[in-house]
Order: sequence, then C-alpha cells, then structure tokens
Amino acid sequence: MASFAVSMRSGAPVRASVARRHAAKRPTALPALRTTRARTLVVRSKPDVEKAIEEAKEVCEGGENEAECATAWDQVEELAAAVSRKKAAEANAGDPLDKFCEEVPEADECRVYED
Amino acid sequence: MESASTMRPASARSLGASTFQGTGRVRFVQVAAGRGGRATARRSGPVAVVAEDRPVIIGLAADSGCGKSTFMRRVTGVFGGTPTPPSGGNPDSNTLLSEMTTVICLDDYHCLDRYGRKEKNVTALAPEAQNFDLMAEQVQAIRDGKAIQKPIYNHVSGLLDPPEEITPPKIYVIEGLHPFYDERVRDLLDFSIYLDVSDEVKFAWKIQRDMAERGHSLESIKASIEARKPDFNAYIDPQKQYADMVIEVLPTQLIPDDQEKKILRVRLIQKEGNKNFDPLYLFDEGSTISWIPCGRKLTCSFPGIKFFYGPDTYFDEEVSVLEMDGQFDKLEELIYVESHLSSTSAKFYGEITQQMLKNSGFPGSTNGTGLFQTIVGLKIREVYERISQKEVLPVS
Repeated sequence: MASFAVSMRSGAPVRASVARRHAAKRPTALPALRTTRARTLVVRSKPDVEKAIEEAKEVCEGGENEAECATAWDQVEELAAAVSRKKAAEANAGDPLDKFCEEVPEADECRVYED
Repeated sequence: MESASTMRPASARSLGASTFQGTGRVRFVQVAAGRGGRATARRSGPVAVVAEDRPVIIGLAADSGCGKSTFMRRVTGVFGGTPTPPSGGNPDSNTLLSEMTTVICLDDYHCLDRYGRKEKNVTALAPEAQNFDLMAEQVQAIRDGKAIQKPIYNHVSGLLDPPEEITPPKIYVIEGLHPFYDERVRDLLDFSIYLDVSDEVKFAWKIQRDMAERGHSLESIKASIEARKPDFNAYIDPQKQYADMVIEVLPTQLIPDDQEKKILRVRLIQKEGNKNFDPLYLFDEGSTISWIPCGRKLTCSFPGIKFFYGPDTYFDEEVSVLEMDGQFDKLEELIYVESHLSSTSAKFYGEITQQMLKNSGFPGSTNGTGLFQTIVGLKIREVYERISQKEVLPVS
C-alpha cells in the first residue's frame, strides 16, 4: 500500500492524506484558485538590518568613538540574529496546508474523505 | 567487540567488556563497575546521600542567542518531549518548556532595552545592561520552589514586555551571555557549561548566517565581530573559568590551510572535583591518549577522525580534556567511537548514537559539537539524578 501519491501540480510526492483532500475536492480545479503556499515576505525587518549596518559604518568611520561604534555593531548583530532566527523558524514551520487546516478545519481545502 | 546488555540499571556506567586492537596489539578489558567505576583515591565510592527535592539549576553561557539553540534542543532531547514556548502567553517569549525542563533566556534580565542601550551607548554584553539583582533573586526563588514573574525581552521589537509566570520545574536551565557573571547566581548553579567558539569559526558561522542577507558583506561581518570583541573579552570570556565544562570549538588541524571551516576540532574541558558528575574519559582515566579510530576495523572517509584525551590545567584548576577532530561520515563510526568512550553517563549501549540520530538534522551532528553537546545532556541527567536521588528513564 503506497503511502505516497504524486501531486497533480508539481509531480512531487505528497502524503496520501493531502492527496485525498485534493482529490476529494475538485480534481479539475485550476491551481491558481487554490490556497497557494505563499511564503510571507518579511520586508519589514530586512531594511532595518541594512539601515543599521549603514549607521554602524557611519558611526565607526572616525575611529574615535569606540563606545558608539561597539553599540552600533551590537545593534546590527541583534537584528541579524533575529532575522536569521525568524528564517530558521519559517523553514521548520512545516506544511502550510496542515497549519491552515488546524485553524480552519471546515474549509474546503481541508475536507477529508475516509474510505 | 562485545556489546553490553541493553537496559543497564542506573548504577552501572561502563560498557561491559570490550577489546581494542590497535597496531600495537594492545588488548584491554574494561569491566563494568559500580557507580563511580574507578579506583582513584580522589573520589570515594557511594556515600550516604541526602536526596534534595528541589529544582536542579543549570547555567549555559553562549553567544549565539538563546532559546532555540541547537545546544538546548540536544540537551532537552535527552529528557524527552519537544520544548515549546509557554502556551497562551506572549508569542515572543524566549522560554521553552518540556515535561522535565524549563529553559529561560537571560536576555529577559536586560534592564535596558535595545533603544535604551543605543541611547546610553552600551552593548548587550555589558553588565550595565543587565539586572543582576533580579536575576539572582528569581533564580533563588525557583530553587526554593517558588513561582516567579519573569520579565520578557522581546527580540522582535527590542522592548521589555510584561512578565510571564514561571513555575519551578525539575531542571531549570538559564541560558545566555551572563549566567555565571554574578557571584550570587553562580553559587546557585549545580552545573555550568560554557560554549567557547574560536574567532575563526565564529567568523565562518556568521558568514554562513548573514552573507545571504542584503547589506552584509565580509567586511561588515568582520567589523561587527571586532567591535564587540572588547566587551566580549572583558565581560563574557572570563566566565569560562567558572564553568564545570567548557566546549571549545576550533578549526581543524587535519587539513592544512582549511578555509571552509566546515571540519571542526572540538575540545571538551571537564573540571575535576564536582561531586555531581564524573568526567568522561577514553581508555584509561588520567592518562594521555591519542587515538585514530580509522584503520583496519573501521574505514573513514577524508579527513577522518582523531581523538585526544589527557589531563591538563585550565585557569589553575585540574581538568581532563577530551578532544575530537574531524567528522563522522556514517553511523558505524559513531557507534564505534561511542563504544570506546567511558563514563559517558549513557544508560544503555548506543544511547549517544540514538540521540545523535534523532537530532541528525541539527548543525554539528557530524562532529564533536553534536557529540559533546549530547554528552553534556547526559551529564545534566546524571547531575539531576545525584541531587534528587530519582531515576530518569532514558527516552527512545
């Protein structure tokens, strides 16, 4: 008994539960109409890191104010760490469809037909 | 090589009889012994121990941010379960809860938030930015079995959020930049670990982490490390003299002029004399051993694996050092190495390998960082068992 089916869209293997959900709904549905697995772009934080780096470079230019320089680069470090941690969390987040169905089990996309 | 029986009682630690055949045709038989397991005069056999029914406090010093670190996940993995943030609370909480362990981030004791530090020109590494009074008070409260209202430092906003309640767990881990800076907090720790990453390796890791981000360049990453160095050397680095175990991460010596810094040489420096744990050793405790497991019985791919074990002094204290240089390539190598280590605090033959496999997706799974972090988790279990006199069943 195969536990994997093949996605109609991408040809990649999908879990049987997911395949059942998809198959039960609209076998001929256009992919564009489904809930797409869009990745949220974290536009907000990226400019912050860039800006902080610019600031730090400016502050440290003279070579005079060590405390300000250290503080500025420390701020950069903290922001960079936060960005990378967020990225890592998103990468480990798992199947977005599963997450969605946990929250909204009655949605069409989450219908499961038990045999 | 004979294997020991699967479930050993908590008292036995060594792996039963095993034979080692190097090129010099040395044979030795290592016999399963009772708790302690060796004849040194320094540490006596079992004595009447009074069980203490209180949380066991562990301190971990690391510069890599806290909460979700690989180190913590390996350590808490020994006790089972998946550490999760407190449910229903602040989604940006740094705290991780499992059945037996609670891990808190010491950034929560910042007295200056990101903007306050910018204003006062103080880095997060400086003691002026930490509220050590509150830290000491609350760690003491947990140890006394009382719940605390601990502040939350929100890493996303850079602000201090309203406090969350923490109830005393069986094992309380404080992770961050200053776990043993303040003497009052230091005295409350039952076991402490310092993760000491060398500059070259830190640089390589930061490049991996940051280079894909816009705005960063090799120069900016280097400048960031250099600018933080004075504070780091003044406030963070000196803490390592107080740690029971130091994990040093250095570039490999197996590849001359290695630029990639992917192969690592990792040293586990273990203090002697802490009655709550026994240091692990290779072959013969207190002697000096250089061991290359790859040979006729075990084939390894380039650059192989090299071990070193020996006594040393570290900040004027006696320590034993176990060092691994190189990389595990296959399961076979890991099991082979595990079977030759002694006093690891593993409860059955293959426990270390099993834990490493469980976490094989984490960074460091193929080198000494993963191996020693896993072993530190087992040592924490040993510390807990000795203090509480309760047995912790190994997880699968």
